[in-house]
Amino acid sequence: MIRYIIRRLLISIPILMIGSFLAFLMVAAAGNPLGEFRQRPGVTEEQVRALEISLGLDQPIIVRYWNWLLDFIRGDWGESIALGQASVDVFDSVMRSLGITTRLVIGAEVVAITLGVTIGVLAAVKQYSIFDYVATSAAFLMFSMPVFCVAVILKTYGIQFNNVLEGMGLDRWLSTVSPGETISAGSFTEWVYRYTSLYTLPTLTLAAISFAAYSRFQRASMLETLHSDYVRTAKAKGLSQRRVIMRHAFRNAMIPVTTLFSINFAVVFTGAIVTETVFAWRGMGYLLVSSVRQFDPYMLMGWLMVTATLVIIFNLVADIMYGVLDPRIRLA
Amino acid sequence: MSIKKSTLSAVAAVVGTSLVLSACGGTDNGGNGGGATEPNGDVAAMAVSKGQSGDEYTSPEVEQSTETITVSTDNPFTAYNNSAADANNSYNSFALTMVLSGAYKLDGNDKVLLNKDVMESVEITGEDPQVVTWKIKPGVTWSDGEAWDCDDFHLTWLSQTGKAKDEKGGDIFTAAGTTGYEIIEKVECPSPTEVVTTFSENYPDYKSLFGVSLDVLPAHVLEKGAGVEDITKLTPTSDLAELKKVAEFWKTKWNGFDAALMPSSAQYKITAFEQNNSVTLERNESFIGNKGGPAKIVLRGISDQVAQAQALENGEVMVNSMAQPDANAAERLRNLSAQGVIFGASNGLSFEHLDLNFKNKWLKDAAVRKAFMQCVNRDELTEKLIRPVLEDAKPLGSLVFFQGEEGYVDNYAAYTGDANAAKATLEGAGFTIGSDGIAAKGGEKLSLKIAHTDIPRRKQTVELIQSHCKPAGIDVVDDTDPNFLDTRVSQGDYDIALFAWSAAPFKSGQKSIYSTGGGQNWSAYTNKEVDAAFIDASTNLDEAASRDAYAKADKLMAEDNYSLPLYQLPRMFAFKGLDKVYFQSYYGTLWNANEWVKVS
Repeated sequence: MIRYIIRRLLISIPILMIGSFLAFLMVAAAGNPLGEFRQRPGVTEEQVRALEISLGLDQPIIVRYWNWLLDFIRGDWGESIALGQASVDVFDSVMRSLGITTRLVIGAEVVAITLGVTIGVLAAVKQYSIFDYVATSAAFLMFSMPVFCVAVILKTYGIQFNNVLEGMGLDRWLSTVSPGETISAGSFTEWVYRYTSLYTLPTLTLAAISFAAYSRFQRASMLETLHSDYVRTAKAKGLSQRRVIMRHAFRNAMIPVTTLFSINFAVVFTGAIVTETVFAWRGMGYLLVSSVRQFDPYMLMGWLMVTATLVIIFNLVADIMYGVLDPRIRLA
Repeated sequence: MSIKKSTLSAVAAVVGTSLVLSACGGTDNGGNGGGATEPNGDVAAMAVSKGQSGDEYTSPEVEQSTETITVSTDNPFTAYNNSAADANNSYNSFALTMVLSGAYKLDGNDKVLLNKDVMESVEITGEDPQVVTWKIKPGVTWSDGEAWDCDDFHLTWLSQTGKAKDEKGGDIFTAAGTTGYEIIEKVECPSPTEVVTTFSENYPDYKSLFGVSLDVLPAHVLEKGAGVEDITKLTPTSDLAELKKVAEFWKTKWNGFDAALMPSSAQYKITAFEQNNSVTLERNESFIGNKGGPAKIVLRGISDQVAQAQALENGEVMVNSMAQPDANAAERLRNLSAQGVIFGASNGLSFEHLDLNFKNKWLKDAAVRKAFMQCVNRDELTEKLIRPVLEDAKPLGSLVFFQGEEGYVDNYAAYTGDANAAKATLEGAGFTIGSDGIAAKGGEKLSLKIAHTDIPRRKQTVELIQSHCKPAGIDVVDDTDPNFLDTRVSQGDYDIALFAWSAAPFKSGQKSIYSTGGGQNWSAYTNKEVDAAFIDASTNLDEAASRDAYAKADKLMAEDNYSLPLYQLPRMFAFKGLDKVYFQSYYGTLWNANEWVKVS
């Protein structure tokens, strides 16, 4: 197992380097962040040149990438070269964005997996019942709706809900955007109120589509397991249905969902772009879009290193969990 | 009960579809509705602040409240020193307008006002050479107690003169702009409250210096941080090591936020900052003038304009200030009038235009240039691209003046998108219209490429122009290039260039665009009369005469068919619960935030 993990991690390094080089090349070659600077009357070519030199843009792309790589290995993630960003530190920006996205994603994925697995199991156990049909319809509905639509619908109805609360003499509760400044809540109740106010809508948005996938996978996997020989044997031996489902079928049915969860977690982490844009959370998704738009390869590299590492780790976790859940699988 | 799977799936599809269509298709809450409605409230009157009187501004006495007012804008604040090139962006001005005082400030109509809170007077005290004396009001201080005085003005000049060079000849300060400062020979401080600037040539736009760009920074903070004893002893030719210490601090230490390094000289001071999110301003109790009304203002970045509008609707912000126009957000905000939301849109200082390259084999012919301008229907471009936001928007008719500005004349009113007139012009110049409808001369078809960056609005502009000019016999080709503004435009590598100038309220910088050999004259345009008019305009201290000279240059450029202005890019704003808000094109909505009073 240890050798397997080490081997997987070592293989990841050249993949990361190739990926980072290609991404750097594409963004750096796509445009110059100083293009807008020239649109200001009175700006001379000398000024543009001076700024290019100070930001290192006068050097060939390959040299810039090499310098970035050497600095990165030494722990220096570099500074942003996007115009107007005051050379903000890449590491600080990425970590801040990561923290914001983490808070959004963890809640969403916990909600999604809990609901998805529960509903998937129940739908499989009560196959072709009304519950099963409603669950199936809900899942297909979530699959068919783009994320931005889910977000807009939730925001619209969230505002209407707030209007109802206000009409009843209560405070407006649900927030449609991230907080403008950090407010330290007082008591635990106030903290819960503030947290639910801020995170309910974006969490539901992120959870909606993940939930659909988890519930469908769980249902399919559970059905397959319930029809397997060993489960039939367990039933024939007189075990209660509850015991058959929870002790024998459920664990094996979780295998594909666990794999999906691990992979999906990384995917959601790396770019909840639409959700973050609609709800004005400046997380990893926003960072990706802004660094590409502003032709800022250094910020993009910071984003890429973190997200690629997360993808590698979560894929590795998925493989390991697969081996843990199914003793027949041995990782070599 | 058994229900067919297909039935339930169909029901789900219908329910889902109707939910999607109702929410994603936008809301219609009644009110004014539609896209072609009048702004609510007397928006134009809000461009005049309470404290202005004639050509002067003094902070008025307003009711002091304990309120926190949250304002949204497209991008967040990044730096206290907005004059450094890598930090310079308009969103910094949106906060700094309430933090850094200057000799002059602008009202909502870009009228220049002497800031009587901090200045006694500004006068031209010498001609040939031009000498301007700036008299600071005694007792003006930074919020940390240090005097706001001549030292600060000296630093402003030193950092933006562009003449402090390193070993390779580059500007060590890397300032965002040097216009005006580069022709100041010296800054003298006969007393702490008197600043005397001597210019090497006449500069009528001297009012643009020392404050309009929010560039007067605390010299005492820099002196302490950089280990420099007295900034007034330094000039651009002083010891390079000393200058580098100053430049290093100036460029790097005033980014982000550090309360000890960033005092205030205006009505509010920065008290909190969240990178990439928001900046918090609180009333500056040390301010010499009347204190601001709101106790606290939070300026936060929300990049999606519709999200800004929804935040206003939901009560999470009280003011939206959108430098980037968005028709969906405008529609939504207009529909909120029943909830007390006042929406307004105004012309900004950026304008889209088409530069014709005089080096191009077709465009060096005046008839071809004229024909091209004749076929472009600017009114249709404005109708489709701008009026969804600013419904009374008109095509811009000048390269030098903005609409509503004194001296503005529409020099392009004759160009109404008349393809027949354009065709006649071409035929008169010896072109023949081929069977494919395209004009040709000497066996070559008339084809012109419009180069631009990959912005949807510009793509739509080119598509519309193609439809306008094809009937005239001109084949217009879309030359979309995301790198266009990188190197191509400055090398004149285009037939026609489509981009926007982000102008300032003063005109000094325009000489470089339109004069022969000007640094930004990339189309090789040349006209000696225009050159002379610009020289006269940019050196004539008589404002009226200067304005006339600019008007003359403007008319001549129109006659030469050099560049076709299209429209000014609008800004949008909306607010509720306040008495008077307006989007000032340079300072955003906070330009008069000290005067805001909450209304029920």
